[in-house]
Amino acid sequence: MLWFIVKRILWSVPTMVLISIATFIIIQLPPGDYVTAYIAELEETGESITAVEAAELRKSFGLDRPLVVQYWDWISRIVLRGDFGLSLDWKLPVSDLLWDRIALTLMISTLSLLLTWAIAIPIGVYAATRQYSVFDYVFTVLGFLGRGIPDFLLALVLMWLGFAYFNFHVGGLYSPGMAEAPWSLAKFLDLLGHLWVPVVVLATGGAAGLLRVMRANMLEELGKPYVETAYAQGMGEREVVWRYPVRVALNPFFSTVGWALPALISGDVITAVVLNLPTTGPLLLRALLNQDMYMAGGFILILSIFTIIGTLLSDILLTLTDPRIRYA
Amino acid sequence: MMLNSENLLEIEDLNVSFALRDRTLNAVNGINLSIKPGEVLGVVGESGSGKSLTARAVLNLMPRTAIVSGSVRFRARQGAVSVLDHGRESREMRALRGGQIGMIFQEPMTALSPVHSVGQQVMKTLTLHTDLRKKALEDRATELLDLVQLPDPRGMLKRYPHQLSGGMRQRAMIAMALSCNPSLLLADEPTTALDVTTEAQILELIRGLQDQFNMGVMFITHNFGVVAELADRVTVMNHGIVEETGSIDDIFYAPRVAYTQKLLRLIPRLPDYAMADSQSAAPARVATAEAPPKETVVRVENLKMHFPTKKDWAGRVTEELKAVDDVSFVIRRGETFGLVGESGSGKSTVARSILRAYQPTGGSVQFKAPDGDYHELTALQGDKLRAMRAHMQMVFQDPYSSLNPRMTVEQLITEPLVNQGETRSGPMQERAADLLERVGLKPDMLSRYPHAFSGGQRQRIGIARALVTNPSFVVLDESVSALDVSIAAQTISLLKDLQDRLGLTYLFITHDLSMISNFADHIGVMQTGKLVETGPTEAFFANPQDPYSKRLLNAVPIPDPRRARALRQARKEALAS
Repeated sequence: MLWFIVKRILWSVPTMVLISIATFIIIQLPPGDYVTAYIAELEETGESITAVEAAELRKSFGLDRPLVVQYWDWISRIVLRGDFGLSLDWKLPVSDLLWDRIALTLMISTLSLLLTWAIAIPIGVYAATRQYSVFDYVFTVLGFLGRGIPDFLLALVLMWLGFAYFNFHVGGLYSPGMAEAPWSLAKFLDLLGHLWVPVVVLATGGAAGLLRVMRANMLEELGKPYVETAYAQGMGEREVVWRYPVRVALNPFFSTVGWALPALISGDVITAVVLNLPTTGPLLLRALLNQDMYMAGGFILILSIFTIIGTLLSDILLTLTDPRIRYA
Repeated sequence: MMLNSENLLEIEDLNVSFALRDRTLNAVNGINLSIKPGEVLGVVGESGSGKSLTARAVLNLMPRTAIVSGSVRFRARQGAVSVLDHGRESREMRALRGGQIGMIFQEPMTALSPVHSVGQQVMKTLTLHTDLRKKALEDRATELLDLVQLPDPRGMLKRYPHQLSGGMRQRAMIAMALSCNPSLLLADEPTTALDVTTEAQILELIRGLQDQFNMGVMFITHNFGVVAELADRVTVMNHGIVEETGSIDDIFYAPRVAYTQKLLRLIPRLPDYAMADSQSAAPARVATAEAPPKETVVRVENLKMHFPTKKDWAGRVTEELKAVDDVSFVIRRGETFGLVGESGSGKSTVARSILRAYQPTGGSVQFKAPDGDYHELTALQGDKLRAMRAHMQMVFQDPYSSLNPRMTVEQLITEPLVNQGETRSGPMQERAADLLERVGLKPDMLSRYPHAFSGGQRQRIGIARALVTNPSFVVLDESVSALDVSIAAQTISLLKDLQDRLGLTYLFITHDLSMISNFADHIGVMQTGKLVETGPTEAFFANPQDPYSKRLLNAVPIPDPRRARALRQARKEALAS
């Protein structure tokens, strides 16, 4: 078991190296570079710069050096000093920009993930144990509706409802004036007052899909002979269902919980933009649009590392919960 | 509520039905039966006879959609209980289940929870029905695992079902069922999924424990051989009704009902000479069977199929599974070679290596194609292999999963031709229709989908598919094992008939010695990847040479209760002396 974990961790090292190289190649792929994008932006506002000035700019950003050197420069700073370089667009260190938003992103995403599970698992289990009941049909319809309605639309509707009928301030995570205020109880309560909209929006969409998966997993497990064995031992229905098939039906969740980690960071970009949330999603979108290469590269790298850590976590969780894997 | 003072269980006029969209399905139709304390009632029937539902009615554990009437009365410790009057989830029923009525199931692979250890599962029953906790609980569970003769019972507590063999799991299952000293044991096909030698051990275990604890047993099975080994009385069920109930000897030697008579006639039996006690009884026919040797169609020499199971860091194989290890035999034109063995012995791997579903890791397979030349199958690749496959086809075991549910019968049957590069056409459709008729189905069924057919009909479609390319050699991989007795008998006679008319050569892979003894010309016995014995069928059954062959043959349950009793007696005396 321990050896398994150590082996997995060791394997993740070369994986990360390969990912960092791939990341760097990806951010170099689009034609042009930041300076080209910058010139285009200037031209839109009627200004222009000469070729010499452009070369000067490239040199000052280090964009004129060979790719290998640029890569080495970039990665060694990240590994040795945690320095992701300077955002060309914001003229600020990438790490400052990122970490600022990651905490909030994690909070929103974790809450919505927990809410997703809290909604989806009990309903999925119940719908499966009472297949084709009124309850099952109602939640089948609601599930498909939830799946079908885009998150951003739901966000808009909730915002409108909150604004028009309850006179809430919606959009963003703080009321005007609170965002810059130092942390206090009032600010925290204000945050909670805003947080529910994105959390509900993100959770309903996810729960609708998860509900169907849970129901299908449970239906498959409920038909297995060991469930009948459990009844024949004299257990009541609730104990049988939660102790046996739910345990097994959750395994696919454990094995995908790792994917939730990178999803937490990238978040639902569109929803975040619509709700004007200061999370990482809109930041990534903007970095990609502006060819802000160090920003985008830092982002992709962090996402990839989260993916690797998440997969590792999944593997470990799965070995803990499923003896068939532990002793295979 | 009346419960005859002699009886442990009474089922009276039990009806179970299901409301389907357009009609009512009567699965159980007015069943009456009873079991006395310490009595073994064998309930025999084909699939769909309602025997499993009847057992579930005793525990009040039928599907929720079932419509039930009638009465099930059980003599519990606290007095007579009318099972169906209590709710499915009632405390009374939960106390009976596992507490006073134990049940064991067919599938040892899936009847135990995969995520709980054996100990956890046995102890769960004990916690539900007794006050035992902690150390005492563990001790009792250990004792139970010891009772069912599992090795290292204390260590076994911590092991998980996937770490045990099928037979060991079934033992654990029995330990669970017996943990609270039930007075009634319901056993639903508990040995059907096991190998014969394991089956014999489990039957012996159940018989011994039944004796020791004087339990009433309802033993459900489709296998008359198993019933003959175990039952005091037998109930024969068919399509939801009881055909007849009688003492074991009456049912076997004086069946009153036509259905019982038919079943007894159709069950495959070992030939008489196989059961003769002395070796001198080998039939004289063996000596006279010296016909001129027929030409060899398949010659397997030193066939090896090794699968890597462990590799080191550089990808070199450090451990391998020798699934087929140095196997040689020949199959002659128009004959059937019966390859027998228990699960995991490598018999299916042999077939797949011959048909080149696998690339064998060693040895040679010579096949005489219709062009008159021998071809080395192990060396064929690409188009040549594909063309050669037209001459060798296979019929699979499971008639349900071996037919693509999204294809019509016509598409299914003609698929091998399409694979051979032909385009679908009128003549192809005629050929499919012709084949359907040959296997006893109607040509107008061509446009239907597999779900519209019964298991036996599906197997016929599978046979038609195998014959569409006009093969000379057909592999039958357990092709009748999943079928009911009467359907299997029909399928076997169809296969024999086709063999005679088309001059087919068969490789018949099976675990069923009784069945193959009436079919094959030659027998090969496999054990852990090796062919331990081959020979002409009659000589083999009259006088098997290898110790493993003898063990295998001895373990076959014989549908003859007098003989089973005599054998048991002889074994007892041998043990005593």
